[in-house]
Amino acid sequence: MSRPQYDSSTVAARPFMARMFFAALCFTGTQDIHAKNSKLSPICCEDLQNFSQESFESKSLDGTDLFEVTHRDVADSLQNTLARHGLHADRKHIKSDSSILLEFVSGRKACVDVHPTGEIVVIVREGDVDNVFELGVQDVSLIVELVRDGIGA
Amino acid sequence: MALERRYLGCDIPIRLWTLLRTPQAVSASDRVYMRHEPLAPGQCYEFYIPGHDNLEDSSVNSDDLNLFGTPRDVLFDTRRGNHYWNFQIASFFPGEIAALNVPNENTIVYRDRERKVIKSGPDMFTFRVVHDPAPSMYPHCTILAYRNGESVKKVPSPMKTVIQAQFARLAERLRLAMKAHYCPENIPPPNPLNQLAVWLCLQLGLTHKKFPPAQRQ
Repeated sequence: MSRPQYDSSTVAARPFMARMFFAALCFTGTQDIHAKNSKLSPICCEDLQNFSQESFESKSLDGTDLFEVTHRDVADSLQNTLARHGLHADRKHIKSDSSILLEFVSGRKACVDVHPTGEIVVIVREGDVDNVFELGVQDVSLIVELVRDGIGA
Repeated sequence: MALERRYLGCDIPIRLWTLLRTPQAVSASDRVYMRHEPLAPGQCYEFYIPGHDNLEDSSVNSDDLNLFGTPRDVLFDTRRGNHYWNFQIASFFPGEIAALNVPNENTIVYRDRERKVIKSGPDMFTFRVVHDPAPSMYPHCTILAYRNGESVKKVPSPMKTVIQAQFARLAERLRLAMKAHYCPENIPPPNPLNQLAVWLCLQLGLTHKKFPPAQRQ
């Protein structure tokens, strides 16, 4: 089998084409990286575009599907859920470790702290006693009951 | 590249400088002061002292070790000179801090290969106030956190909420007493004599560098 013959113009164009091909590869590679990053980003995440209060509640109550949310979304949704049950947070703090603390002090004294690690800590104060509960996103109804009814819930 | 001007602390009163003094023990009946971002008018601490996030070693000022001083001395920023005149002050008794025992009920139980329990029971978080003078702030103390009696580098996230709530409860008892010390409009004017005295002490080398942890009382 004879070797293919190239004319001089084709041979001269080879390094240029190789560079272009490499550049194109790099470009697609960068696009992939950006696409991966944007999946993690709370703004561009496809799941979060469809994220809503109803989906959060239904999924957290009985769903087993995995979906990505940031702890800020969880805190906002929790706050909205509690508000719909007449439990309006009196204060909201964002701590230096970026955990979000909702304080309820006007009625029953309680707080809900949503940590970036996913843990939700609920403290219900009864007299001199602090009752502490470490819960997760799946325990929204229990959090509502604890804040509303105390440890008798 | 612009050179950042080094803050010497000339506006910090000379009575607060450590100079040749050495660390002392903090008594249980002493009072310590912690600055924090101001609460809205009429609000209580309840579950959180704003800005009380560094639980492993929180900075406070001792009252007994601050001769001729006031609680407002804790508002001095000894590092950069951006003093916190608009901040509020929380107060604690070191004895009450030392009496805090915060258990972590979700402590992992460790077992060996034969399923025997190596370590069980809740981790106990305790705290101690130690005198930790800074060169320009002799009454400076540190509240150190311990887990089962050993110094802790990082408090687990869920425990932070519980510990912060306990400290807020302690601070709430003395909140009204500390209200008198919140006067953001009261900014001490510069004192040229003090500045001269501090400058002289710096020139004469009468200032201590930071004490190593081993020398903390």
